[in-house]
Amino acid sequence: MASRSRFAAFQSAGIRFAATYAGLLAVSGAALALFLWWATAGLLDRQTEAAITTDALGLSERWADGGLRALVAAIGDRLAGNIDDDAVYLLADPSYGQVTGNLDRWPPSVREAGQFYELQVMRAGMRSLARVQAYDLPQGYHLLIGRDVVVRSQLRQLLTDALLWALVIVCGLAWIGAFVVRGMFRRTLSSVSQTALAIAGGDLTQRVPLTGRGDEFDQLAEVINDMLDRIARLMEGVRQVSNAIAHDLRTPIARARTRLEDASLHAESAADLHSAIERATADLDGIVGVFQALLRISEIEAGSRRAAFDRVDLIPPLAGVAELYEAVAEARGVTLMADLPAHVTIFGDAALVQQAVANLVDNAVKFSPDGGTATLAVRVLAGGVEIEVTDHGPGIPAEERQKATQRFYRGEAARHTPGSGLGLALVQAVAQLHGGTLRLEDAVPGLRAVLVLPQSGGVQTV
Amino acid sequence: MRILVVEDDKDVAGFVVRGLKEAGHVAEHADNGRDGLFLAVSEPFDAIVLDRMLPGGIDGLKILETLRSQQNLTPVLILSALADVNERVKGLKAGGDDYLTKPFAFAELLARVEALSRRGKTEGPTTKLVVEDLEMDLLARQVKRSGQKIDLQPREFRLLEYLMRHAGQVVTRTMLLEGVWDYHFDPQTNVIDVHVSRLRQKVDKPFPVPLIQTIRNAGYTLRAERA
Amino acid sequence: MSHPLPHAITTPVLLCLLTLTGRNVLAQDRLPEVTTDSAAYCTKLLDRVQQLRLAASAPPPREAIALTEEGQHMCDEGLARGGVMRLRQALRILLRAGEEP
Repeated sequence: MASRSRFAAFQSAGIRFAATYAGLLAVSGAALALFLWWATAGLLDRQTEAAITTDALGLSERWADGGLRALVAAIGDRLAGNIDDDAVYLLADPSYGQVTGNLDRWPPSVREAGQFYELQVMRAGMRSLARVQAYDLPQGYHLLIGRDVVVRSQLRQLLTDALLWALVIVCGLAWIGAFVVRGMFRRTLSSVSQTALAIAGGDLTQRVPLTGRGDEFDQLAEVINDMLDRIARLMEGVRQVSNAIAHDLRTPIARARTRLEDASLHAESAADLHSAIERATADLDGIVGVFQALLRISEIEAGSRRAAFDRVDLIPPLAGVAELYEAVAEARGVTLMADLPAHVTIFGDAALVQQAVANLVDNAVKFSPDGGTATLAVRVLAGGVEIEVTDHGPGIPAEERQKATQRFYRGEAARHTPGSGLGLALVQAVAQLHGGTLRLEDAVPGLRAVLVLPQSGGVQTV
Repeated sequence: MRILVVEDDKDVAGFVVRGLKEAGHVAEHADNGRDGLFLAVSEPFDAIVLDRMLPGGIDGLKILETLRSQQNLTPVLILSALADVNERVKGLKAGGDDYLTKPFAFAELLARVEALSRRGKTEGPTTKLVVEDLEMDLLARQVKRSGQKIDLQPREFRLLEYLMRHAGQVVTRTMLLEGVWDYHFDPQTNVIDVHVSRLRQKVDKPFPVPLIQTIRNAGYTLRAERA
Repeated sequence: MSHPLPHAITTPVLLCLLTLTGRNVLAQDRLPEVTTDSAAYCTKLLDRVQQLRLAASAPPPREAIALTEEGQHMCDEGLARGGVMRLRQALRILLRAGEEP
């Protein structure tokens, strides 16, 4: 069980980060300490060894020049000139008996030549330390050369102690730092997780707080907040629809049902039944139409249609819409005017824009007074393409314009005209899908609906 | 016409088959994919009404793809509850000739099936369409009835052309919207009716015999009125 | 050797050094002795100094004389290492003086 809990600790990302930080700091500290030790204490050793080696070279030349006697003389000279009082020499015969030098006997621990040894020696009754190397000479003679390093070794000891302590301190700091890092990590994450918890608990208004630094965590928070905004909007849409279904769809469903029930109970002839059934069928078709429209709006809002975007000329489909509704307008005594340039290209879905504009034109013609004029105009501006549909009917009061694009919204003036209240919702959805906007303005009198679409297709959230 | 109906829903299938028979056609029915494919391959039909969702491991689109891969060009009307545009495109890409979503009015289905079967038979480039005493010159873009020239605006011309190409068949409002204005959505208001009524003013009113007939609950058709 | 630092760190280091030498710390009498830290060596150095002075052409520098006397005095007093060091210094000065033309 202990091993499992140990692994569980490493599953925490905060601990992993903190451990990585601490590990890196400790390793860096150790590397630095090691380097310093090598550069200082190590240097002391290397200097001593270099001095001994140079000495050996000099003495071997003397031996080569003048044999044993010259060597003995050389050793004596060097000893006499050893101002630093640190040289150690011993020339021994093949049986390790002393020939000359300032060491009274061959140290038993120095068994092999060519290696450095550290030797404890007595100097005037006090213990000291020497670093020595033995050299084998021809004819079986042995030469021991060394230096007194007690001071150096004390220094080296000091350095080693200091660096080891420094390492301990670094480890301590790393440990503390690890906690600090883990704390930072947790604090940043906690703001996100707290927001998420609040939202999971049902409070959709919560957003991840920004620190204002504009760093990666803030960017993440912004992305999450955008996503939450979108979710809130979609959920609001669902809520609206649910409310609306309760309201606006139940009525025709109930009506159809009533008609059928009434017919089955009270119809007196086949003809009566027939006509009741026909009316009920028409009601049901109406309901199906509403559902189709709802599904369409949902499909648009979900954004999947964006995959089929292309560079399209809007004028042919919009001209078709104008043509289509011109006859209707004429039949009502309304003049529909179309002011369209020759070509207007956007990056989007022509069929969707056509349907959106058709909704706007349909509304305009429907609400125009007898003898009035409705216009469809398309303009290309710096910001994008503006499609403007104007009528001079009752319009939408300023305070209702915000709600007008909600599903099933029907203004007071429209209470008695046919329609499901989904037209503007669809136009809004199409606008957002294309990265554009829908503006509703007062045409004094009447309504001016302006659909603005970017020409290149922006990135947006729905 | 010989029409094959591949539909697993008993009510819908019964309704369609009965309606087709009443309209004077011969209708065969299969209620699963395997039988449907077998019938479609082994017997000649003038049109096939094909539901997308079928039991038996072979769905509608697979049947369609198999037929087309065998160079079988029988016109196919796809029926589906899946209404969104992607599905429609998928169906047409697989080789379907028309796509109708459920729920549908039988008149719509009948009109479209009949239009489908006609499609294969005529054509070759035509320069003239003639129905009774109505003549349409496609090259000169001119219409004459009983020798008299009729002045039509471009949209009225296209509308009349569509009716003439489907003379004798029922043409629904949806078909007109799609065929003449390339409009694939339900406009709620009766835009088509208004256009047809204006066309009538020019083509029928001045003449003794009306050619544009309204078919109740279905649409319109272009033919001489029968007694 | 005294350290202000805890023995917990220095003792292992010392033990390491001692095991290298392979010596038993307690057997003090077996450690090699440096023979130039003795009054006897003082005498040898004094002889060398005399030889150099005799062989010199010029009178010795005053510093050399002072150092020699100091050294001799220290050696007599039993401070062998200090005396040896001064005598060596005197020798060096004399050697240098002898090398100059």
